[in-house]
Amino acid sequence: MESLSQSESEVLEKLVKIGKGNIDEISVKTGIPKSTLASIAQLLKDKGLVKLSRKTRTIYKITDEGLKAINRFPEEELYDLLVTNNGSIEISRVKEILGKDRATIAINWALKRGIVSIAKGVVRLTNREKVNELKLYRDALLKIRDGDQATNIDQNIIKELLKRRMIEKRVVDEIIIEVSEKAKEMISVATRHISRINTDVIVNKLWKKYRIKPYDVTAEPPFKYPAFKHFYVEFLEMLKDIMISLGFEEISGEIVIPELWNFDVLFQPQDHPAREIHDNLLADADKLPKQMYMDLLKKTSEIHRKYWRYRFSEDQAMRLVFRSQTTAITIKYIHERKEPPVRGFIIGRVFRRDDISATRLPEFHQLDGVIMEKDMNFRKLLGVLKQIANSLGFKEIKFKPAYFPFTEPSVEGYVRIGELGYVEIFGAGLFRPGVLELAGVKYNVGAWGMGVDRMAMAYLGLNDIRSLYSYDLKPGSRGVAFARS
Amino acid sequence: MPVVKLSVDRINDLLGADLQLEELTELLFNLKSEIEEIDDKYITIEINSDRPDMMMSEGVVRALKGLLELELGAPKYIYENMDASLEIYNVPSRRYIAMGFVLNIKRHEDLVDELIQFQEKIHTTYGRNRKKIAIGIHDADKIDSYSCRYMLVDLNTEFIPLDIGRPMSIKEVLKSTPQGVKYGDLSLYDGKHPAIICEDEIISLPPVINSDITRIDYSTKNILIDVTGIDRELVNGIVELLTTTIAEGSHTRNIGRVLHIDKTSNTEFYLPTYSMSEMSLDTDLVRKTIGYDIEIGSIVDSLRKMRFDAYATDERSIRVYVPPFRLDIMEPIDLVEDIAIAIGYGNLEPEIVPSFMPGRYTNMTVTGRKIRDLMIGLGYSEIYTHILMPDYIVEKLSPYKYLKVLNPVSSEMSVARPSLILSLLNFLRRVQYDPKPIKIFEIGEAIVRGDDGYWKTVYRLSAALMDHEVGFEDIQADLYALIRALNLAPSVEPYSNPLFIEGRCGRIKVGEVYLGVIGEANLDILEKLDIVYPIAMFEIDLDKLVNLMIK
Repeated sequence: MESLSQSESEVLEKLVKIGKGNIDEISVKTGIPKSTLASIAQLLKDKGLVKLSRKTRTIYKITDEGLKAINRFPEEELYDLLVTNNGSIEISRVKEILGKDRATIAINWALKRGIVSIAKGVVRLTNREKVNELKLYRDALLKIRDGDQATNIDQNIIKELLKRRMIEKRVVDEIIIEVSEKAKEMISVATRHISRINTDVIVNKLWKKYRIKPYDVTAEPPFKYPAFKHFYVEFLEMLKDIMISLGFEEISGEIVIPELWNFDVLFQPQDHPAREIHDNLLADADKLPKQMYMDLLKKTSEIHRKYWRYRFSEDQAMRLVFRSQTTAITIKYIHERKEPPVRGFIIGRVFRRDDISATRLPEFHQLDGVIMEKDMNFRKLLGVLKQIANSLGFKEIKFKPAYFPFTEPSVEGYVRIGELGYVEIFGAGLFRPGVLELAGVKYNVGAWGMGVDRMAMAYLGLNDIRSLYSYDLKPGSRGVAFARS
Repeated sequence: MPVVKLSVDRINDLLGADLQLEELTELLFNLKSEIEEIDDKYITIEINSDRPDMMMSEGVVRALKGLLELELGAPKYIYENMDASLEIYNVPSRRYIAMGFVLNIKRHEDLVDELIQFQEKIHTTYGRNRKKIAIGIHDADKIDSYSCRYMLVDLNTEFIPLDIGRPMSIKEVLKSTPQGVKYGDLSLYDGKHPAIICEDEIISLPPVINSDITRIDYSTKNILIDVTGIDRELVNGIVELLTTTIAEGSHTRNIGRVLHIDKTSNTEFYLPTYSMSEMSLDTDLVRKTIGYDIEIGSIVDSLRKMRFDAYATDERSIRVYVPPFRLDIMEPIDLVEDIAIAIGYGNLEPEIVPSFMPGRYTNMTVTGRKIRDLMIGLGYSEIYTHILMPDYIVEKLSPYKYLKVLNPVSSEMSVARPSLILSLLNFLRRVQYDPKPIKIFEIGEAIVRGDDGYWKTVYRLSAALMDHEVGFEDIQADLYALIRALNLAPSVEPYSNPLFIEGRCGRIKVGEVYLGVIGEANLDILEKLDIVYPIAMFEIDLDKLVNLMIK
């Protein structure tokens, strides 16, 4: 040992324990940085203590696609769809639900695996067991993600993962170090050293007696995701801040409500096309008892008869629906607050009978607001809409005449959103006299609503509404770019 | 909203002007209609359902002429009583009928398509799919005699239905034609069906199908229209709408009246009448609603641009005559909107109303924000999921009563979650192979059945921790940290709930108030969800928590 430097002897000591290996492995195992290791190994070679040789080696790295597949392979997503659709589904539906590209990938691989068959544009589930084969592929991805190299992974699996761009191949040049017999003899003394530092090490001052083992600080740490607030919730909170800054009071309300609130007090006749069963989600529950709304039912029934000439059904008015518009909540608020000034808003979930697709969901959000002033008028309502649009960062707003059953005059607000051009964001108007009469209000009330999901998509540059509610904890896919200011 | 495809050529022809497409787009935008598609020959526009009079080029042009000040006030048509009569017998299932002629219509290759489109759009909107009203359009010159009857006929009666080309019994029509199958049940009464018979020929089987004999085509010059239905005012309104609109495309603007003889009440009357409804408009209502001190003269001008007749009767009131094709005008406020449209929404200066009240968040928002900050601090990622969940998940797991959607679109979103724990488990099922530990939380609504038996919306906070190994106290420590940070003192007492492992579940308490549940997820449930890592989780009732914090 006399002929070795301090660092040479430290390195050699560790090398002897390993015997033979490539420089990367040794670096990981010993905690000696690769560069140190390479230069010292060269010196040790000159002293005949180690042999050095070179060869090339292949390693694998996980891709974003691979990270996604860890939770669900595209063919598994298709499988899930098939299970929920009793084993068969049209290709066009799959494309609608998964998006065109992903659907094609999912179908091709499910076919290749023998999970499904296709006939006449319909995908059918043929073999459930085959889905289980994916476990091997998932395990392989997990190993690769966690830095465990592909030494004991089936080459066919590697081939497929590569083909699907779930992993990437890298070829690295590696140095093999092999310790000679002479070196083994030289190292016979085992010296104690400290790895994890704990309170014992500090209190008993062990660190003064023993050497602290260095780490390979260049090595990859364990994989982690940070904790995030949900970007869409942050967007909703930002909308609340804007409304509060304009002097509005936030309100909330029930989600499952009688049709009376959802439609009847809003002047929508009971045979109105928007009230049909294929447009709204009905609750599988008993009707509410009429006694709950005796007076209101009577008044509403009279008004409907006067304007629409039909027999109003109190039974239908008491039927429970998942609210289809948050105006149902703001109008209730107006019924309770009859004297100006009143400013209220709600951001809430609403429900319609729309198919699940990239542009529509049966459950989404609306922002509804109402404003009552002693001398409220249409121009003032346009002023409120302009203020909100400006607060959202839209400088240009354009108004178009519109039709809603419960407002007159009615208006739609369009704002310019980048390359999309003018996009409709508001539906608004002054409540009709009949609506105010039912509420027992003597002043004009301005009301407006906006679809929040579509606005969030435009704001955040998303083109699939489902990405607002995705099952994903990966930071990149969670709108990190959006921060409430 | 109804979307109609109109011929650019016809619009320009009827207007007698050559509008640039840009100009047309702008004008239509200000008439509530948005252009969806446009090419050299056709424009596809979205018409608001309150303006059926604009679902045909003739009607659009009638409105444009007003805005462009080519014609002002209510349009004029020439009415003549035809040598035509209609005896109306008792048809309890479809009581009302009205008929009228439009004469000397201008030929155009797109006219028939537009007529059929007009008819169909009214069927699906005002007609409530032919239930409330239905329309038949006939080539008047193909009918030998205008001595007609509306009555119930036997199902064995035969006629030649449109597009079939051979005689068929009504019974067969109802059974084997697509229209018969769709609308055959609407008006059947006592084993009979309503029909319009002229002399001895059935010309229509409302609301199902017309006879092939009266088919309209390019050569059609005079048109006979029938409207049947269950609402008298609407039946009459639609016949006025159709005759006046189509007559905009007549060389002579000729409309022919039919003598209607009601056999039940023994009354006789001519239709269509073009009777205008009269309305008195208070200028104060206009000013207070729009928010401008508009001169009475310009209010009158605006109304005339919107094709109403209007005269100032004194300094503050205007007499307005509403032509019968404006089915949407029910009361003075509807006229106010038309005045605003005539002025142009783009010309109304938005007025900013300052607020003298501070805005106010709900207590739930205030508390929710605090909790979200604390949960992030404890290392939990926020998730946001739907209230509507897959029934196959909730059915499998829920120990709670839950509300189903009666008519779901997909089993993926078919029941309302009674607890956010189900949402978290459903989420974890899909991300279980992410790097551990996985810590998530959600704040949101659930729908639960109250003690009074009614369904209620409640707010919940639920959090879950998944790792290679997880213990009760791992999540309990986080829960306690959260509640203590809100200045409350938590405790837990033993509890039993099928979502959790027996003996590893507790009820969360603050003072005497039970706030929720905590525990290690039942392994049975993990198995059902194909989850291979253990989970500890809790759920608390935020409505109760907010109440505690207000105290």
